[in-house]
Amino acid sequence: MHNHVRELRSAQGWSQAELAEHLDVSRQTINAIETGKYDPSLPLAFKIARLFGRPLESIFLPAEE
Amino acid sequence: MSHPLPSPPSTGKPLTQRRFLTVAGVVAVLAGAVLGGAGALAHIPWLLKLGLIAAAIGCLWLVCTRFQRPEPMRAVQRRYLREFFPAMLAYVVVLPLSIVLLQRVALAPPLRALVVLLPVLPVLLVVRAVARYMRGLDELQQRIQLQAVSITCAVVATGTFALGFLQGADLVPTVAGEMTWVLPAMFAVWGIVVGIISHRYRG
Repeated sequence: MHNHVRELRSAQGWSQAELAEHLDVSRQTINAIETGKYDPSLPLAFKIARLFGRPLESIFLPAEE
Repeated sequence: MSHPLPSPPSTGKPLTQRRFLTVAGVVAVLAGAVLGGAGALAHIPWLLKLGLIAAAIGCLWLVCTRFQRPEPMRAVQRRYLREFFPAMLAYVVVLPLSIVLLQRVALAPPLRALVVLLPVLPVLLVVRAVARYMRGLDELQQRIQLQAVSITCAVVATGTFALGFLQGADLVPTVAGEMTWVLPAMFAVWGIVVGIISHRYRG
């Protein structure tokens, strides 16, 4: 799965640690999501979408698209 | 794009894993040197061994600081340390007490068993701290821990299984108290495996 988490975070001017704090996860998890090493669970994906005020499907895209 | 959200409030100079491990490592090495030195001077083998183990663990922590990023600890990590270190301190205090009592006081078998098992009580507190730590981790960290614990169990179980075969064939001697090394072996293998699996999730 691809995602735009890094771009959205950068647009807010946040570090990975700051985004992690907003989402109550570790910085390691944010880094793994941004680099595509880990796909978040649906609850965490929705939390990310809610935080950035965007629909889920505009942040997370299937790998083939 | 949504409007910029406020950054989380800064809490001053945060405690980082690296800083904590550095302090803990130095304390462990110094304590190990003192205990080991006292054991060597007073010819008390178990005290010397305890000192060497403490110093070795301290050195390991200091080496680990090389691989730690200077980032603030999460609340779950701080709680784990608050629970883990007092329990380990209690173990370090209770273990010599138990050994000295067993060496110097003639106890009836039930009471003797109770004194022998005294050091297990702080270890139960360590188990509680680990369980609470695992429950407090986020979803990726829990996945990493699940893999690490599974591999650790498989490695240590297979290792002790093989050792049992070797001892059964009289190729490896049976050592008194050897079962007490299973728990430290599990912690050691767990630490290494967590490091390896975590590395795979780094960008």
